[in-house]
Amino acid sequence: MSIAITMNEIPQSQSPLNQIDLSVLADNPQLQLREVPLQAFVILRGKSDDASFTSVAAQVLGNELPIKANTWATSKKADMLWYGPSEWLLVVEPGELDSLLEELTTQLKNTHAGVVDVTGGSTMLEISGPATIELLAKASPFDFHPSVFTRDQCVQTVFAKASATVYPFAIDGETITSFRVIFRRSFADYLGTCLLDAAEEYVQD
Amino acid sequence: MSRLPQGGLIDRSESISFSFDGKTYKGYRGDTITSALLANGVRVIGRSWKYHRPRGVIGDGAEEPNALFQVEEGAYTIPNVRGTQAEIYEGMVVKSTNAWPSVNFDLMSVFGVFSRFLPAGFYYKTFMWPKSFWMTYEHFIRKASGLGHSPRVADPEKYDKINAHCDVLVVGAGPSGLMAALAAARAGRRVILADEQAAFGGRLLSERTTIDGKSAVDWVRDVVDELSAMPDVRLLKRATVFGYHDQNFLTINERKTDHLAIADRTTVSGVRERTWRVRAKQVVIATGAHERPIAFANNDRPGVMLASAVSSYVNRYAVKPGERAVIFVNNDDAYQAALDLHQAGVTVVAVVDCRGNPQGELTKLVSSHDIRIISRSVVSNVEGSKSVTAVEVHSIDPDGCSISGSAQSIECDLLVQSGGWNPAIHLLAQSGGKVRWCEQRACFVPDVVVQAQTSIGAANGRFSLRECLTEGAAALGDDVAIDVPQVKQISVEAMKPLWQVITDPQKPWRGPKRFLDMQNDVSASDIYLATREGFKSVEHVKRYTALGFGTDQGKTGNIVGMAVLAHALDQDIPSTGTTTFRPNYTPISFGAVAGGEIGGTFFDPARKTALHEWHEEAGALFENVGQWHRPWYYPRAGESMQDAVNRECLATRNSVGIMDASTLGKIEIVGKDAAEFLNRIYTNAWKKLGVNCARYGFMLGEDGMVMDDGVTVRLDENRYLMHTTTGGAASVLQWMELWLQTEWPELEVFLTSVTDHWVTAAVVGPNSRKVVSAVVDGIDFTADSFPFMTSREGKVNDLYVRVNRISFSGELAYEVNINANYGRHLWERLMQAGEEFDITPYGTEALHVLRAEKGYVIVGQDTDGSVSPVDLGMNWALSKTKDYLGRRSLEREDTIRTDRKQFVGLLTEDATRVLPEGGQIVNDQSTVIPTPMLGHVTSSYWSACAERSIALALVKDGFNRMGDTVYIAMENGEFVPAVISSTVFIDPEGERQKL
Repeated sequence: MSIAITMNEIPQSQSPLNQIDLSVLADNPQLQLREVPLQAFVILRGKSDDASFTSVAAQVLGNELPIKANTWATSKKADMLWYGPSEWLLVVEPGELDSLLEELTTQLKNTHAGVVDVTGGSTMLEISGPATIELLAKASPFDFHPSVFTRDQCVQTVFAKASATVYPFAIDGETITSFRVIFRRSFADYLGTCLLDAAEEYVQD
Repeated sequence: MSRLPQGGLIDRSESISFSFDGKTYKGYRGDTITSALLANGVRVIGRSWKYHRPRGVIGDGAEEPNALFQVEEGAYTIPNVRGTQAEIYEGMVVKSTNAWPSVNFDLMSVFGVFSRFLPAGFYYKTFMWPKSFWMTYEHFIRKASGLGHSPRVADPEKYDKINAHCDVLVVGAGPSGLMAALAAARAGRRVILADEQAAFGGRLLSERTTIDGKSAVDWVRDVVDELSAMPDVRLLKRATVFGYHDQNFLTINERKTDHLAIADRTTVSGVRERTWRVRAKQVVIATGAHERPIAFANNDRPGVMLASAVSSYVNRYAVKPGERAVIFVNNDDAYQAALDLHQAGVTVVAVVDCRGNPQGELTKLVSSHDIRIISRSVVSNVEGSKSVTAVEVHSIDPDGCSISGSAQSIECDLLVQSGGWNPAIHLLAQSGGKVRWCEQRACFVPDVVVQAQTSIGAANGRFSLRECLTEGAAALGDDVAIDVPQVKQISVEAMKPLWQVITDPQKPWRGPKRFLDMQNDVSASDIYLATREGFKSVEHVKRYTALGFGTDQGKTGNIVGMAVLAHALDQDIPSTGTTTFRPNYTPISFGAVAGGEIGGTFFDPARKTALHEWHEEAGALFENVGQWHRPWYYPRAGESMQDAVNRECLATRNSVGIMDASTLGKIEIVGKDAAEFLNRIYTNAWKKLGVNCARYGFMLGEDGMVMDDGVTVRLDENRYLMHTTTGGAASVLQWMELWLQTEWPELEVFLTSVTDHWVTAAVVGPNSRKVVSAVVDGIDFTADSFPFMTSREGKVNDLYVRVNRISFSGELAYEVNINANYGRHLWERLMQAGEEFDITPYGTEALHVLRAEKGYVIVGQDTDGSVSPVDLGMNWALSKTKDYLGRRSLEREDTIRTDRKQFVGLLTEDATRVLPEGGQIVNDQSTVIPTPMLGHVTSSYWSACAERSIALALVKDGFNRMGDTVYIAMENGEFVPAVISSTVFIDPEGERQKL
């Protein structure tokens, strides 16, 4: 059974986690896990110290790209996650993808920059509930304690035996109330199964 | 029954039945196996490893060498469980180890009678000759030695791992550890407090003392309550810190369900053991100390126990370990055991103290109870076999070394002993720290520390409660120190080191056995023998005698053994040294080490394409290619693998086949220097490739050998899409990034992996154009406007697709790429359109056959890292006008040899004979050894299209030997003749792909 396909909005599409039944964690008090299906993802390349790139990117995206390592920022167009000194992941509403790609490509045409659509290659989970950090700790050696992992941070981390990007999603003041985890499509079955297994002890009958 | 009518920390409201060696006993919640057995009057709990002497419980914790049990049967069985630490539960099945047929009647104890024939190094000496007898000996030794058995069926329980971070990890929740945790927690630090026991408190659980006017147990409860209420404090019970690694990385083994009846385990948490991987900013080692025994004759008789353990059994478990006790000590602490026993109604016959005139406060207190104190004396022998019946007491000379006078025999059934304390320095040593010998306290204490850590309390050689609390309070520095609670201070007389009781100073190895390592049956005489045979280094003596080799790692015996060695070598203990402590502190189950990463699902990630479920529904069998699971072939009912592959190949060549090529590595290369970059990475020229055109390329290592290959498409002015092999994608990206970032930073190029973004459907065969053109809109598919090795953009149901006309089969073929979210839709549309042509999905096996028929190389199968493009006969791919990675290596003397192993085809004389891949190729049917080997078969298949066996091979000087007959040497000695041929078996002119 799939909870992930939104057949009406986007016909003929299948999210990477469509084979994993997460319904047991939909309304579970300790831990909630759901796929945020069919988000659009773009890899944006350009040099942090190249003003001709950063200024155009900021103008198109509506906010400055985060330059500090392992931080993210948001704008009206995208969540912008620092991936490296010359790399960002943009998380984009699916309906906005085509126009954003078009605008970025056009505006950055004469700049040393790269705009690559990787929408089909990734998916995103949203994890919330009191056991969230413990669940993340089962997969990742990174410290997600609120004193370390603050609201403006994101991290690319080992995740079980694959890799993932984690960033805060819902934020209440300074408190992160839910996390987003982005990983590659080809690992979706594996990671979905791992997370379900790791979540077993937090599931209430 | 030996259970005291009241007291103890056991829950008498919960009675528990368990069995030991088939007999049922009762205990209470809070009992360990050994406390429950002692409460039931069970003295002999096992037989020793080598001599099969009856053995009883000595200790009450991790140090216990004797009380090892096999717990449970079948899949749940656990070997070598320390009964001193394992809690009992309803229905627990406990068996002794090393005893056959029973602990009280052991046929193997004949070894004990012949023990003088089983000296140190016994195995090395006895079982070495005749050599051919070793197997016989080994069988016998294994049966005799035992030490538990591992389960023979799969473990049904679940294990996992979790990462944790903290400011302070406190190891051990005794008085010092609790204080340190409290100080850290009150200062707002993130704290993990881990203790191996079922309850916090450490030694306090075994003592009748007061802290701040409260009983110790109440004080512990209040501290734990305060800690539990703090948000950033994690309390781990039944959690052994078993490894201390670099960068303050420590591992904890938490046993979550071993104390529960098997039926209750899964319902509680589902996880039996959890391994915590902790990264701590600071570590506080509060692991306490292990009491050490004294080596006197027959010191292993059941009923000889450590003083601290006796206090534990009396105070914590409300058990009387005997009725008439003699206490043998060299320090004041053990007098507490005399008081505890006295209070419990045990007759304490005498305290034998090696010191001349002990005047400590506890000594006086014992005296006041009319208990006889025999000073300047030692226990020189123990009588009894399955239990102590009496002890012999000798006075010693004032020098304290040798006994004098005649023995007095004292009847008793319990001998309580204490030789002092050894700080548990295991974790400190594992962390790289060094210890020093402290003369005053006669023990090794922490000295050099190399990581952010501190040792406190008994683990630091501070044995009094007040010292423990004080060090704990200040463990994290004065700025966060907390007040030290009030405890009673008593005056203490200094201990006097006493390691062994020697009856014959001239020949100290003489006399009944004085055991050092009970688990391995190593006695003092073995150490003396080892030194007489020339061993001097403690590390050598340890290995020769097996001292400290057991599952207890010599926690009771090692230091005493080293002291005996020092005596044998006539040197002091510091110059004798200690052996090395290594993880694990106590044995850890394989399940805990593996965590959840076992079995099919979690051992290695399975990478799947978006079409995986379609393939499953179509009945595909899968093949692992790296981590990818790719369809191997799609058998229909009644088909063998060969049948299915034949059908898939023929359908593709005769009509149309379809294959999931999504796993091929795909890298977007963007930037104004992209063509220059490709020029340097690939062997051929890239600057003149037009937009929407594709080219095949070879990538070489710096050694000039083939590293990867694939087709790259120019998508736009400054934009290329590189295809890599399925297995090579990650390493190729890494390789190219390395060059870009370290050698060619001036190139304006960005690389991005897009492997997962695209689903690639390869539609292959003479009817492929009809199928693809029926599905894809916006592309003119006529041969002239969409020729071979070009690329076009189109739409499927308004969804963007890129179609590459490239081929790995020699057929007319199109690779259709779409955003993977729509992959299944595309695939189903293609299947639907192909229906009238009987479109046939094919897997990797047919793919391999189809490409082999055309002689296309698979990097990694036909090459092995020692094959250059010249060896493959692909000089055409090597540019002569530009430089590229690996080029210079192709000029090396060895690489320009013309008789290197070269890539050729092989046609067996018997066309039906399919060669084994890997088969060695020789010149003639010679059986002379060594026969010169010419090379090997790299790929071999039955070709349904060529209607014969075909093979590819690397053969020395192969290009010059076309038409020669060679032989493939088979495993059974047979030689199969084959003729060296071209690698192209079908359509040598390459017409079909250009249709």
